[in-house]
Amino acid sequence: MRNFRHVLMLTTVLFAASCALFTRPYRPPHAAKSEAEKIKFHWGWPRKTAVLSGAWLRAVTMAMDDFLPAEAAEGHTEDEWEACLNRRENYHAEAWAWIPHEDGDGGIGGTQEPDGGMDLDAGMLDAGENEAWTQPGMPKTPAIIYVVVGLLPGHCELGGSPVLDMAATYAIDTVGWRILAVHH
Amino acid sequence: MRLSYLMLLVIQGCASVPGPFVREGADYGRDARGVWVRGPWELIRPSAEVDEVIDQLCPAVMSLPDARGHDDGVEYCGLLYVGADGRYHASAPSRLAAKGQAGSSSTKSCVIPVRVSDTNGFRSIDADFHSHPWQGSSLTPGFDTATRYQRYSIRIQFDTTCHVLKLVPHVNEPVPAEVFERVGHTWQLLRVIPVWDKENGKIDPPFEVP
Repeated sequence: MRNFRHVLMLTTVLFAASCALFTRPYRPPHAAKSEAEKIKFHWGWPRKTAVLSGAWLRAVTMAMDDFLPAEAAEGHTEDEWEACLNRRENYHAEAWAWIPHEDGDGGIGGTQEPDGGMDLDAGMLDAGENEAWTQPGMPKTPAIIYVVVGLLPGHCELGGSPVLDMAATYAIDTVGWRILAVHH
Repeated sequence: MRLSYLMLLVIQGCASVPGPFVREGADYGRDARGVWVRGPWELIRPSAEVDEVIDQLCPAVMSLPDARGHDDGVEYCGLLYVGADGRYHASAPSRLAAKGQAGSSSTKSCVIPVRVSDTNGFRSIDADFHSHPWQGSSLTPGFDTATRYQRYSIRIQFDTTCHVLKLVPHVNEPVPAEVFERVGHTWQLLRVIPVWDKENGKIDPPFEVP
């Protein structure tokens, strides 16, 4: 009986270890080499681009990974509506830092907000920072970045029925890089 | 000892009376035209006063499975309509959601019904209602409040504490949208959404969650 327990324990440990060894972290699917070779990268890029950088990029990515994990987003389903909701391209993200209202509670001063939001001075660009890589009007690295992820208007409607509440607002801790809270 | 405990649990399980529930196909469903709901809902007493019907909604919905389930819960959504008898009725609510949200998820959605199936017929659909499975969860700015998500003249929303909000979107009217909260038997104006923000449903400061 005692031997049986030892064997059982050993089997469990080995099984857990093998799971850890053989589980690979998620990587996006890549096209075959033959297909990749047909893609031409241009020299330079257009003036009009969408820019997300630094803490803002990481915060939005973290929120999206929680809202719609990549594994789920690329999972297969027969239901067209479900498939639509699972596609990340049907969503948008907006991010902001809490900045005290100018004519309201204290203005743009130098105080730390109770919710961890920062004023403009404290989080502004470092001297000489390239403004092309920052979010206009937003501090460079606020302590908390709020990110709302939601379904794009008019996308994935079910016949004439609009989908409500397909969104969540995240408070992202940019120091410890955790999701502090999700508001529904 | 263990066997008797097990038997007690089995007996208790058999003796428990299941609460109200709704069934897909019978109480709600979906087709190419959208989501439909059956009416009237037996748990709601019809009334000539719409507020009397609204006051019954939250307790009834919260008695349904998973309505208070937080991240493991579901959102219920239904319609308020004027029946052939001229009184206000509530439909049974739908719990239709994407399967991806069926389990534990911080996102729960609700598909607004566009049709009522009432064998007695009806005159008009006046409002939609939906629940959130968390407490302290109010109308979602930009989603619950935006013009593009409105189908009726009133939207009712409530959370697990039965904090009831009413949005009057005033779609296609040159007046601001209004958000009211139910306090006792009155509606108190909570927030106004200016005409220029009605399309995207943005809420002006203060941003505190009501």
